Amino acid sequence: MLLKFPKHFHKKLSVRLTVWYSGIFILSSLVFSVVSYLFVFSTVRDNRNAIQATLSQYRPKAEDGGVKAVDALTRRQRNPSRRTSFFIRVVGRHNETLYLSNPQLWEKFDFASPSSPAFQEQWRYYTSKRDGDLLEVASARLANGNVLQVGKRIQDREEVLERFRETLFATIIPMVLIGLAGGALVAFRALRPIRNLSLVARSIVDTSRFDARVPDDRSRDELNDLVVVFNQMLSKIETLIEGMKSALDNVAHDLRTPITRVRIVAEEALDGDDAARREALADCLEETERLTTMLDTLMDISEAETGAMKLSMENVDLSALIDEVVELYDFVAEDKGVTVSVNSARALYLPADRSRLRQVIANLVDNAIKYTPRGGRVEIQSLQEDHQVVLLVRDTGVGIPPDEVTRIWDRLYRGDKSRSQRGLGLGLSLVKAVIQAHQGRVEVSTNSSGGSRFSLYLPLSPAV
Amino acid sequence: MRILVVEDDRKIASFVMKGLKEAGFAVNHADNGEDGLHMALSAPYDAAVIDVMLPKLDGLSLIERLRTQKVHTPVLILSAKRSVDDRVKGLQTGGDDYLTKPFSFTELLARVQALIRRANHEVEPTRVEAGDLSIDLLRREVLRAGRMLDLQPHEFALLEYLMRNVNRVVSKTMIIEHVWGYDFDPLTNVVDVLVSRLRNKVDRDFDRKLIHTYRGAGYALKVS
Repeated sequence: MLLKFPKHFHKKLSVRLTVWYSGIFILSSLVFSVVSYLFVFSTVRDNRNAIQATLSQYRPKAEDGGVKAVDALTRRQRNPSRRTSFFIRVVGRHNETLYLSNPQLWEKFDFASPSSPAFQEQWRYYTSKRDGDLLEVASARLANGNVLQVGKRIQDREEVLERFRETLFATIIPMVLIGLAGGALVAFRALRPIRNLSLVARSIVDTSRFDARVPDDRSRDELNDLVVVFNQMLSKIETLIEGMKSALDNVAHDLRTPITRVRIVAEEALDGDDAARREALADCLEETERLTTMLDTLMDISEAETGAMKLSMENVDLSALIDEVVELYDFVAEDKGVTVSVNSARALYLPADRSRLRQVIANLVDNAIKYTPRGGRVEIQSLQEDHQVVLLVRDTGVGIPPDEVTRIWDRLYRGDKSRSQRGLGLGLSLVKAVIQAHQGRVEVSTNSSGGSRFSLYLPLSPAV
Repeated sequence: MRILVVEDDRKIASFVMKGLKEAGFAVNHADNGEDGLHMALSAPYDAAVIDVMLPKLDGLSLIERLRTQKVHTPVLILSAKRSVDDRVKGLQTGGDDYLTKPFSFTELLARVQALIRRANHEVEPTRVEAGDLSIDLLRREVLRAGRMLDLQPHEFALLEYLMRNVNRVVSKTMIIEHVWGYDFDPLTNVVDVLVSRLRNKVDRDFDRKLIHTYRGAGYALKVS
């Protein structure tokens, strides 16, 4: 069966990884083999060098002092291993042994070989009849016609090298196979997260469904980090898209009511007299103003909820900000006969978007004053607690019925008691969304006095 | 006084032009950025009202080109985008003021007039008078028909702002910007409350009422 290679097969990362891995593996194995071969080869050569060196050491002695001097030199060798490792022999004209060092070691070799021509060659080999040992010998003819021989026992050099070569060639093919298989395995395993990633990405591109996730093998390697971050990114995109969708739905829904009101007012004005028309037009103007504010606030909430809100974070003094807001509502509170008191730690800095945070505080104070009857009190307190800043807004107002506590944060939700008040029903949703965009949280509870108590918690250091 | 209006929406353009003409300005109109740039470079204008989203050349690029050509006509940017970022970007590009759609014409007019006054470096008077009202900005004193009125700082700031714009309607947004220096809309009727307090002090004891409410538009101090 023909394997059908995909197009650009060679460009695939797994193929390239395999090739690289195998290449490096095979190359380093080859280098190792060659170095070993050279090492063995040079060991063999060293043997000859050692023999030559010893021969040139013995030769002058043999020339001058004959057999006796040779024997004396052998005995003088202090190192016993050196004394026994070298074969020293003096051969007479008729191929008779005149001297043999350590005869018990060397007698087993067969010296009976053709006479003179043998000594013409520098190197010759003697084999042992008993155990096949090999002796490598260098010879030198002395002036008196005798021959001095120095030798060393060796393994058969050629045989060693030959066997080494054979082994080497025999291992090359498995080596290449192991290299290729290893490389492929490594590449395949290492790239699995990437394959999963591109599968998921592909499916998202094809289906536009953002709920798919890449399997997370919970390891801590770089590729799994990529998987984790990729999944986080998908979640973020999903939230963003969902948020945008629901924001769009909400905005469309929420705008229908005021638009209907404008329409009704305009229709009625068509039939009315001049004074009624003027009145209707003014109504329309006010209604469009409310619409604009509502649209802006809805967009703010959606942006904050989906994380699309751009916060320009700076070091903000919360206490100073509270003072600013309280000053803004000074007259409103005074008119309503509500006392606003501030009890804040002096200079409390935290990272926040100044104008957004101001808006949040304003909404809470606005709310508190609105729902507190004449003669009531609104208390604002800021304090630092461990790693967070707490802002409390308490009032002695109407409070929030328990069944409404969770719903007051919903968009456009207006409790029964608040329907008589002017407002959009968006203030608290915005508070919650903006505080959550600051990595903070909001809480609401009922005071012992029956009024409500709003608590904001903001981190002192921005969460990463 | 000549004003250039660069706006591609016909309805808005004719509305703005009509209003500006009624207010006594000579108005020229361009319905795309390139024509607008050409007109602004070829004749001196006292102010320009430029929309951000324009065909051929967008408003911000237009302003940038004007500024690189050393044309310093004060520019009021009109935009459908509301975020603080867009406002900042508009002002950094060289715009002098920023107004978001939908807007009321009174606010546009007031902003254009303020731009022209600022560009002409009109000397800030230390004393402003309107009808039988007069305020001394140095001594922070207010007199109506010779009687001293006791105003708190915010009330004083509001009255000063209304008197500087005498007979003109100023919007709630403009009042918040000038009196408190904020660019956000407090959800409650902060401005209404301040106006009614001021009214109590300025108008209550007098037959002739000076501070008028224009529903859906804002407030004005009228003396004529």
